[in-house]
Amino acid sequence: MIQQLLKRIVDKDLVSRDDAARMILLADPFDLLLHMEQVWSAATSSPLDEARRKLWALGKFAPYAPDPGQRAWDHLGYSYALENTRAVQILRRVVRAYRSGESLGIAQPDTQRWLDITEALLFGSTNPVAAWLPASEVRRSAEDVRRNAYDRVFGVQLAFGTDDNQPSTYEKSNVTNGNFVRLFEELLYEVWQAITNVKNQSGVNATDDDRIYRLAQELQFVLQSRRQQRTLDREELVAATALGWTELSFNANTPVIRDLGVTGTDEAARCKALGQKIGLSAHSKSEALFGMCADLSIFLRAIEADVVKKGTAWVLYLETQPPGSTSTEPKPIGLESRRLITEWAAATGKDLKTRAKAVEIARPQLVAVK
Amino acid sequence: MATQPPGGPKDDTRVQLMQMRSEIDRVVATVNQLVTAQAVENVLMNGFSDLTGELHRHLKPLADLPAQLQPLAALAPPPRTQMEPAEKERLAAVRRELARESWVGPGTPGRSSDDGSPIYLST
Repeated sequence: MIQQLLKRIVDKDLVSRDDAARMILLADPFDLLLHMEQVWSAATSSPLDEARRKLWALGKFAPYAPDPGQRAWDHLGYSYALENTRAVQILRRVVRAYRSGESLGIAQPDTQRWLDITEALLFGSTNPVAAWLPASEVRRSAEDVRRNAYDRVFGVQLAFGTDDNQPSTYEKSNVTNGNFVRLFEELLYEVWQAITNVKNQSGVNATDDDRIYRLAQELQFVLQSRRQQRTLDREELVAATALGWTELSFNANTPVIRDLGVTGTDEAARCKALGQKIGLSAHSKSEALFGMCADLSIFLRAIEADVVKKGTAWVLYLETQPPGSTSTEPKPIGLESRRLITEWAAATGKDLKTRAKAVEIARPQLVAVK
Repeated sequence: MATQPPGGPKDDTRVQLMQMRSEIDRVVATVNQLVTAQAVENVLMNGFSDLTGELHRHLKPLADLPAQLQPLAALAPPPRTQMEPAEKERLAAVRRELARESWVGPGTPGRSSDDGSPIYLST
């Protein structure tokens, strides 16, 4: 949500990326929360919510609202990838240290504003509009709500426990998509086979469009089964807002990065350096996790949007439109898929470019019954 | 153990083995030639496919090709299936909704994060 807001500011005001980022980083947390509600309203608009729409329109970012009907926030996979870096828990320690003493020094005014927003978006500080509407006395902390959502949609858990290294005690669901990872990795493998054969003009072509289509379809069924009637949509939006803010905090040498003296040249380097400084190590594969979050979001959203049909599996592996298309048509997501395969393999340690188990051809043959 | 005289059964077996090996070598050579020919044919056919695709898009329908080229049209691999308008619209919507700025690169001159200097100064 945050990255998309930044893009809309750049497009509408014709300002630079950094100026738009500064606008967001120095905003009032209430303005950001109003905009988040505006984004939610755009996706779920109803003629009955007039009072709500008028309230959202008071915010600083009201002119940058997405068009009605747009779901202008990242897929839950984006939040999962970023949260696995442990960046949120690292920021929690930073906020705690700044708010409870002076062990990290005195925060500059822009860092204090960053602290206000971080507490509001990530840790549920009181505001006229609460970011974590999904969290309550029943569902406890925001992190637990996200862990529950990851478990239900992807059948996976984060790679670590709480920030004091205790096992997480989030509420387990009775249904989870336990076969998501298997389907997803099988699909990535088939997409890689297709990518390597796009330019193949003469040799044996291992591309199996029908299998790609079938896997994509099955993955879509699996993902949609947990999201019927907009279930988990609100959790996805709030998670994308919180993790989008986290990503923006590390995208550049932002006020807090500067004040803490951990400037670096990319998100993972800043995150790792900050983790070392406050005594909580970031994930060792943070480079891959930061590198794939946006591509994973597009990939999964395209799967959910049901754009892969019989005969059009090329959407997932071509980088440009095939012959016969017009230039105004949307680009296939081959570039995103390629990056995702590389980074997913790096993050998980699984080589998706080779089949894990070769097809056995020397198996014992069935013998005839005499 | 008695030594086999020249021209006995063992020599015959050796000659037969050599003949078989020679036959096998010829078969292998023939197979290699066929594979190469197939590869060349594939390249030609795919090239022709691209050419007919371009003609189809820019000049005239495939059916209007000269009669000499018509047999080749049947050999050309089928073009990729086009997406339905509704699917194109859904993919375009995904791209619109998730559009974002890239954080790789120098950013704004003079305020870049990549040169190590902070891009956000205290207010």
